[in-house]
Amino acid sequence: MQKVAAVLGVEVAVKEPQVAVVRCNGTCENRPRTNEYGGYQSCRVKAALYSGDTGCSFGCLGCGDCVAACQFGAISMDPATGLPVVDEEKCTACGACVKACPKAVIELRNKGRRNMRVFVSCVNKDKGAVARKACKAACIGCGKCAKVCPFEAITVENNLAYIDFTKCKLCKKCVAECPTGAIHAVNFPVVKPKPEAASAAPKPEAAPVAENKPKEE
Amino acid sequence: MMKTFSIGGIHPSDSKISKDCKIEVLPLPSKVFISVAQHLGAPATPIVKAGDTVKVGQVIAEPAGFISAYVHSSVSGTVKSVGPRKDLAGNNMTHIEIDVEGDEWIEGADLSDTLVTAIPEDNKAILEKIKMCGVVGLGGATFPAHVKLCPPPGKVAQCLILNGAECEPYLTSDNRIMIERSKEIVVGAAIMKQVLGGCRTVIGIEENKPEAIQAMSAAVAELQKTAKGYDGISVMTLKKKYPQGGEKQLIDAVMGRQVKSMGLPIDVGAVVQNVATSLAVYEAVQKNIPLITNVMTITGDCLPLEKQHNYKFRIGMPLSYIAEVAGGVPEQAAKIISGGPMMGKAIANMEATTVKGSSSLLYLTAEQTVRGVESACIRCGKCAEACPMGLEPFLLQKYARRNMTDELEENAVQDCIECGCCLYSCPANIPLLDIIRIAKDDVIRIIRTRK
Repeated sequence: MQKVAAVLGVEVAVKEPQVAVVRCNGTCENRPRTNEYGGYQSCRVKAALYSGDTGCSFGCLGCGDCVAACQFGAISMDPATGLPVVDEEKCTACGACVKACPKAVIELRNKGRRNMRVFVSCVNKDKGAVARKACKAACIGCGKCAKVCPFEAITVENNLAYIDFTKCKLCKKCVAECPTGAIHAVNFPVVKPKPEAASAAPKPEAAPVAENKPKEE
Repeated sequence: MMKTFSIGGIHPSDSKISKDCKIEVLPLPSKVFISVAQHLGAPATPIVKAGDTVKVGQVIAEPAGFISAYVHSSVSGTVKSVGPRKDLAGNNMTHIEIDVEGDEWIEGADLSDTLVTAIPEDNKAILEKIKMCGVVGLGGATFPAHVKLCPPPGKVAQCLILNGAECEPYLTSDNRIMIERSKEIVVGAAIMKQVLGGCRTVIGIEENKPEAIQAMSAAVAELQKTAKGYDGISVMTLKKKYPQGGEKQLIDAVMGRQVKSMGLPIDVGAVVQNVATSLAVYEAVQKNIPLITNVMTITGDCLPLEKQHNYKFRIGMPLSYIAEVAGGVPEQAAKIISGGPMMGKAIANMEATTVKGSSSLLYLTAEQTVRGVESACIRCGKCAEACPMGLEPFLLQKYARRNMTDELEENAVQDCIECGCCLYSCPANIPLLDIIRIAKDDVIRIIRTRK
């Protein structure tokens, strides 16, 4: 690449490899449907009409515009959750899905060391109570994560936490702190003494964290 | 022969079931939530805060731009909160929550029934009053009325058209106000006519509203005999055809002129206002009452006749409250629509509240709302025949699916009025309008950025 750039007389900026991340965990179970959408199956059409068929007006609409936009077959809809799943091997971080999503649910984030990532899987900007009512896995903007973060990587704005992936050191303190399990840690190795801690596989197994937490409180 | 517009159009069953239901006044709820976005353009800026006491008709939000409007309190009481609340479509919008205490109006509001026929002479003062009273177009687009009544320099209004077509099936609110408040509407028309420089005024009403035609004609005749300033106003019966109430279609029907692509009605010398807007202008100018009420229809095939209503509501009333007062949501209702069945919006949130432009709660059954399975376009051309703007929806949807914006613009997708005639007439159940609407937004955005 550097040599090609030299021939062309341009510079190549060094960039961390990235991957598309779906920031919504509004599964059928977490986010009950409040109405039935009978229109044309397109997220853009749906978003132009109304807020969607759940109580959350920010999250994934589930019509798969991102799937259609992906040129590499890297995104597919999970029929069980109704949410898109990114195949990290195939994703080239071209950003087509980010552009296609009318709700800006998908974000390009640094792949991270050994593919390990910590992110807030929610884009709901409603006040905590409203967000929680619409979705069990919503970020309620409580700010606990921002307080516990030793690296100042987390900011809470408009009732929504955001983790800056350039500052995050993957300590996972926030994951344990989040009362709704909205913060996901993916691709972390299994820690043996603690069987319930985050696991190797992505999202589906990050969900138990979400379910365990509220019970403890 | 009765006139109508020349291109396209469809003939859905008019289903005006509630046309004989007299207008009833809704009782006040214990609480109202008044949205600051009840008009086309920038949402208004709230000027009250929690704890303030307000009277009926007091300004609670100010316009935030040229195309914007004042919002007034529809009740008297205490402001409880100002903050986000879900609107009709489920999206967040700033609402002003007011606890209702009594019904105390602002000073100067004339609540009597006496008809004031003498029109004030100062046009500037009239326009200022229309603006201060937050009058917006009540035909559907809720465009601020005072802006429409000030033609840009160099343009002259030759004809004021009052839109009494009410071409949407089921809706009967305009029909009822034309029967019950005909004189007030004519006075409103005369006021607007004077502001526009005394042009010809035509009240266009479709043939399926004979009572309204009679009442309006009688009101015009009487006012022309007894008062000054009412010359040149006439009632025109129009042939029933959807979408006659579309601004450009009505101009074609009444004046036989067509507004060119991306043009404005004033380009052909026309100004179109809805009959309900005319009533709001009357109340604002002659009675000092700001726009805080309107009439809405509660209807549907699954509702028995005694539960069909035409209600005079105040803005900010929760839809669930209105449905409750009207006798509850019928069991068979699968979809509730605000507006007509052709262009109305399905209500995602019954806790949303009425706005200035609210026109109905329409209950549709599952059979009425089911969409057929989409199949391939057979190029029968029915959509092109139906399109009142002379577009080719089958072609536009093909371009739209491929994001071919240049071709879309060449084929005038930006002229689409979203009336739904194409979708209604398509035998292959292709979601033409859904797809074209998105393409239209894109193309209009591109055109704007070019300027």
